[in-house]
Amino acid sequence: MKSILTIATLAAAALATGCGVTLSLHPLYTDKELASDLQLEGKWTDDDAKDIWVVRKDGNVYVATCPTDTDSEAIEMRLVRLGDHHFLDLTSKNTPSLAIPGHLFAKVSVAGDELQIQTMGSKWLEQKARETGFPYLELDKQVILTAPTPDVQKFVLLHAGEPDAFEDAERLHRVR
Amino acid sequence: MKIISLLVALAAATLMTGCGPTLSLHPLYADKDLVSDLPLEGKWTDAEAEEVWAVRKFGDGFEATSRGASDAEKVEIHVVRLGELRFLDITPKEPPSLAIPGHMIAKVWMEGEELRIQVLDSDWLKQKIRESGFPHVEVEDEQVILTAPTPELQKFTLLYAAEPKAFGSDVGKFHRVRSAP
Repeated sequence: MKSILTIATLAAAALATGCGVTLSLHPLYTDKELASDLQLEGKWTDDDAKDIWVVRKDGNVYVATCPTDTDSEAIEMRLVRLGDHHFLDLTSKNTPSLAIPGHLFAKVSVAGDELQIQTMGSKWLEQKARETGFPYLELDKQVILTAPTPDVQKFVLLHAGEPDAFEDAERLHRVR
Repeated sequence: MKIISLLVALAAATLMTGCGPTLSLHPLYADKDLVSDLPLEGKWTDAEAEEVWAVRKFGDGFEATSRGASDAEKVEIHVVRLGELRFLDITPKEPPSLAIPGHMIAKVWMEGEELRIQVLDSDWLKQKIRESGFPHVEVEDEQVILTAPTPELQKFTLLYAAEPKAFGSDVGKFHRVRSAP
């Protein structure tokens, strides 16, 4: 199963293999870009229908949990509107006090009962940052984007239409 | 108070400003700086004895787990020798996948059988790095994250190791928990 619901698992696997997920220190949003015009709340599953994820809204934050998988991590999602695009800013819900929330970005759309999510590609981000001098730093196993939110927004919007910038679409179905 | 919470509180950040502690993205150590000449292994608690911190050797450092706190954090600790001083580099052991591990820096020494820990003061640090241009970024809630690579971080830490304001006025004091005979 590959879905937004397993992003945390994918990220952990990537770190274990020495290819960390490229995260941003700064979020993709300020309060004024936060949106709530996509129906993200509810229960979602993928084609396998193995796990069901529950998305709840709490203020401006959507929290995704998977009650059927005790090993899964709760993820906080913010719906961000930039230009004509909707994005998700994803971060772990329970960040320990000695860790810094990392932000993962994805394009998102809802059509009927289908939720489609495309995360930004870590390798693509890493390569583009190196080529363009977009601010980043390298840790042991991971590239971290350090640009402030306005610069991150411009960067993401600039490349929103580039197919290579995003991973394959992950499709989830609403559970009625 | 829970021990990690206590260390964070010693950094003054959460008490004074409500923001997170100053953390470094890079560790304070390279392999050659690691030592194991402090008797850290065992069980420790502070004066309030609300929580017992179990420390055991793990790889080239230590792992510390809280007992008695339901939401306790498991951390990795490395003892770092810089000059004549010992420092702790404390980082979360198993952070969530979308979190970036930070490194908290503290001075450490033994006084008799008591373990003493003094955390780099976040308010002092924030002012100093703004003045000096030491590499950092500020994230949400004005939390300061040091971004300098390890060699620069070591020089900076050692430079201010003897500066009284750098490590605050509060010292965490921990005593060993002896098992009942």
